[in-house]
Amino acid sequence: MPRALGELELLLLSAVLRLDEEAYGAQVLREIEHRTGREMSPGAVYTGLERLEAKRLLTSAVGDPTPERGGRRKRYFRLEPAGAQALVASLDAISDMSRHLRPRLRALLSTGSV
Amino acid sequence: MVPPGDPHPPRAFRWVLSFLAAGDGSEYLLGDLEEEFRRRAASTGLLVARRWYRWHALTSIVAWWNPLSWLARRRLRRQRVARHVETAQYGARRWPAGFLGRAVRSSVLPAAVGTVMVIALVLGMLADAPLFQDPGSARRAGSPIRDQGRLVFVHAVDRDGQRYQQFTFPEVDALRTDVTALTDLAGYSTAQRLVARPRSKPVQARVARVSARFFVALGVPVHLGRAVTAEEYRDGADVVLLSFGLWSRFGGDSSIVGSTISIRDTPLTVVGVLPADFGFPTDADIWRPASRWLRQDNDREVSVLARVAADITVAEASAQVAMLIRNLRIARYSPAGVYSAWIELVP
Repeated sequence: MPRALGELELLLLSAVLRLDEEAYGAQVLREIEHRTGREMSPGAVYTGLERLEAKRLLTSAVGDPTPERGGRRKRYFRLEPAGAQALVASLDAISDMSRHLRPRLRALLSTGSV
Repeated sequence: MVPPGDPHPPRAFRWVLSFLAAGDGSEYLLGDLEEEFRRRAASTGLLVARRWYRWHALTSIVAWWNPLSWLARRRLRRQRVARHVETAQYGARRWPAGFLGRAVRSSVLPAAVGTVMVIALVLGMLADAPLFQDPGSARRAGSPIRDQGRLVFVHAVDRDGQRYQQFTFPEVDALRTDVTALTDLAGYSTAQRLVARPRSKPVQARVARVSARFFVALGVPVHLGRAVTAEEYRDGADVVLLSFGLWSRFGGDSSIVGSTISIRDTPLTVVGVLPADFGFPTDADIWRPASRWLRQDNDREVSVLARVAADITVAEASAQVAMLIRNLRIARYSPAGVYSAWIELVP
């Protein structure tokens, strides 16, 4: 069974998938901020990506240095099959849970008991 | 080679980060921070960018020294060596910070330094010291958007009650026709694209596809060149506006107006450059008309922006939009159900 993902892991894997071949730390950070409105730390994003790679949900390759990065190289990340499976499983789980809960939540909210 | 006059991150914070985060992977983290710093310096100004860098240099150190991250780096090192993927040396690339860093890291000192920094961070936040203020809360001074108090987002609500849903382009067209409480209603969507220019390396940019009246709603003048005309929106002309930051990356020359870039092999003419203090949608670098043959009419990907009409409150406008949505003929366009809608002021 695919491993369960935490919220940050879910966001990181989704961003890597969206960015396709341009998924490196700074781009992933911008994609998450743009989509979710959450401001994140580059350190949290990069170390999160490394942890996912260590779990073999992502793989990485080194890119060219650029002047904008002070002559430093980029590390590009790509989704591995295990990562895709874990992402699908988590998204399915969230979708199932949401569908079942919303009518009950609406009822609770309308009665003011929440 | 960094061109002269190019802004640099605060040196003290960069040195501390290099010292404490030296080792495997630090080059990429430092590069990400510096790239993001330069992008923010171009779009929001040097002061805000430096405050952003200081804050995130400190938070990045905390993330770097997280035990889980440390364990992951050790595991990754073994995996990469085993795969013989990289032959680049591990460890610090910059002497003497890396040499000293390795020596210091082998002792209890970095734990103490890290603890002191975290305590200083917390005390600074409690004391509301400017150094520790979250630069994300800093407002952009002098935004060129006119009369922001009447600018609103329109959000769709689906039949399951899920808010913050988006519209399709046909729904936006229908809203524009039937909703009287809102004026200058415009739709926009964004996507990441590779932008090519003659004799230059392609760059990644966020492209915003906007309907007519997008810039009328915002009331933003161009910095260079001209705005997109109503005819160009109607005809779906292949013209674009660039952000000030992207224009700067392209050399900052006025000859950019009239030049050609290409996205997915489609040549586009640059007609103007937007002001330095404008950046909506967030991180957008290029704006182009959302022509009918460019968009996918079934895709629910359009965000909606509008102005509340004069003498109507936001709450009244929201109620009218919600009522109209239920009765509107847009149900024909969205059998899956745009059930309701609500509006909120643009923050």
